[in-house]
Amino acid sequence: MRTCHLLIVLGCVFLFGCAGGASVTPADHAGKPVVYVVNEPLRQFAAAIAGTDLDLRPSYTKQGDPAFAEPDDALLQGLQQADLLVLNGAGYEKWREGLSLPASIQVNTSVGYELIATEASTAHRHGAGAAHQHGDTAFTTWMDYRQAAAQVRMLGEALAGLVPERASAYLQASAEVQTQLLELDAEMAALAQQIGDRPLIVSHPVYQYWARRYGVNVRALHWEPDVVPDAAALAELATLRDGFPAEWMIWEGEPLAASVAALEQLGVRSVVVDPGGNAEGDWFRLQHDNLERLRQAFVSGGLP
Amino acid sequence: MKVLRLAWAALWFYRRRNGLLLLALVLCGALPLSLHVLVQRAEQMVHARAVATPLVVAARGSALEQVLAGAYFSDHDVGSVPAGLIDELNARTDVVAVPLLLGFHAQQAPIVGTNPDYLRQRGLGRASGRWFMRPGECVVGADLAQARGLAPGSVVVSSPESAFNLAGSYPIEMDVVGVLAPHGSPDDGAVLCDVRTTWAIAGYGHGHQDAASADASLLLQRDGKEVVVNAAMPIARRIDAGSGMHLHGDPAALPISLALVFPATDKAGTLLRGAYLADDAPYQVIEPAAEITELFATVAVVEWWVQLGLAAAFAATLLVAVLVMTLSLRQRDKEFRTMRLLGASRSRIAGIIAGELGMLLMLAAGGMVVVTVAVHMWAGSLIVGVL
Repeated sequence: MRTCHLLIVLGCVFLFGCAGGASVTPADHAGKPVVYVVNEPLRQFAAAIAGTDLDLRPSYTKQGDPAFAEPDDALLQGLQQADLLVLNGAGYEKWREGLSLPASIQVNTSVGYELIATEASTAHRHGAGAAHQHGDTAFTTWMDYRQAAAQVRMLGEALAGLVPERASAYLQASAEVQTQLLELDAEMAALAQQIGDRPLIVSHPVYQYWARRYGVNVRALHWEPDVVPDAAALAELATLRDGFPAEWMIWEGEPLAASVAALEQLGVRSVVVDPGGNAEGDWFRLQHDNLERLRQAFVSGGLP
Repeated sequence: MKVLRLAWAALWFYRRRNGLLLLALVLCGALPLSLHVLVQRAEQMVHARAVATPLVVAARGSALEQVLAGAYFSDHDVGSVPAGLIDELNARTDVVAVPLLLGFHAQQAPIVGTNPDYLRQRGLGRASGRWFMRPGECVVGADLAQARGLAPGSVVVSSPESAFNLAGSYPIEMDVVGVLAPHGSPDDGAVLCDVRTTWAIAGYGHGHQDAASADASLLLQRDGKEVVVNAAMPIARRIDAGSGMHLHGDPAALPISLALVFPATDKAGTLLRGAYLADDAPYQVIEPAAEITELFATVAVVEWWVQLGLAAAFAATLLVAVLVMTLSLRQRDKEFRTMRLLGASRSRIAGIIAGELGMLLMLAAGGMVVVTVAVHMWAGSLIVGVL
């Protein structure tokens, strides 16, 4: 007897659907927009414009020059997921060059500004290929206070675009900060007229835009405020002063007493004009202090 | 129940004949259904991907090929545009432009040179690791990671694009730093990296030791301001901090395949299309959704005619099946007379025959459903593979 064969009932129904998993947009945030800034002036400008509306984060640490920051992977991941990355521009953010960051979140506040090129490195080429060199630009744009005002305008527009419901408030606040900077600009211009074309030596090549804007006659060394100049450095100074009889050294930070003494022995006095790229206190207060020191040096008591 | 048991027994007794009949009916019936499922599924998938790619800005050429390249990383030669176009487009604050540099593979997997904006705009999530942060790093799609056992820490090497031009592209080792979550898109099978990595693969950039301090045997010339290196200078296979990776030429002038553009508003998209509308505009702005809709309108017409042909084939198969069954019933005349002699009524015999036919048709219908369902399940992979 043949084994009975059971009737196979068909009618299985399978559920189908797309295989896509739930994707989490990398920039999902609950709460405030995350805005990264690359130096202290921009951070303070952004805070003055938007107050506590933003999660404002620095791309630098409190130590060292923000221009030469080396963000670690954790910071870079934060940058990749940020809502806005405010750049100074003019090549300030060297650390950005080798990194993959979303272009859509970056706003370059120096767009349209006439930049100053600095000395280029040695050129090289491969066989018959085109020569190329790794050139550079000066980046302390904010020391031209009129340019700083333009940067604040761009910053205000970017923040207004980021938080449209607060756009008018941000643009109003941005205008107020611009006014403060233009007042600084006027003061510095007036002071520079009194300095005239006296030759000045600057300790660091970070005053290019300041010199251009205010017509100050400067040449740069590469000294650090926390390093006493050695014989080689002093010889370099002597060479520089040959044909450029500067009697003042402008320092980017408070120099050591020994450095000041060494210079005074050569007939060079010291005054501090701190660009405040990583200012610890209020940046506007710092610039007013710069103006006051320059006034004391060249107006009220210091002219030779 | 006895009738059904006897019907099934008869069906099983003539299983070879019935098997062939069943196969013929299933194939002829499943073909048009499967074709329709494939076309519908393809349209859904391709259209979804096209809608997720609002605009493509590319060199003048075949718009459809550029849409397929931009959406599916297909191997069509779509020409190139300068990378500076991305900055030009991003200067419009109401769009996000993302570069794509295509044409390279890690074995069969496409390598897509782009930037993290691509990951943001596509809404790609991570299953493990992180996004690429530097040239030389990459993230891989979920399917690719599973197929090759890739995970953060693995290495992927680019393939030479031509066996006859080994110097035309440079094998670059890329570190896998992340694996994407499944997305149901071509991204699942791709290697995503920084566009500078693909420039290195293409030979527009490379890494080597500092030319200024290199040994004289590696140089053709060295004077105060210029150094000329020769072909003996070893080129780095990896891009990392020690490789000295640099690009030759202005990055804005280096080529990318096309730009994907994500407008913030419809108006922004319209304005962008208007900006490149002139016949002499250097680039064209393509709306992938419109191209795909046009494509599938044509496909629908073709499908209709093909379905007509398949329907005719199915009808012919049915007729042949009827003929076979009729002849079979005639041949079983002795069997039916025996059943009559054993006491089976005419209606019972008719019931057994009807049961056989009914079961055969049900099995055929079931087979068609199974085949169609299987096609539906595999349609996604099949379509992505074809594209």
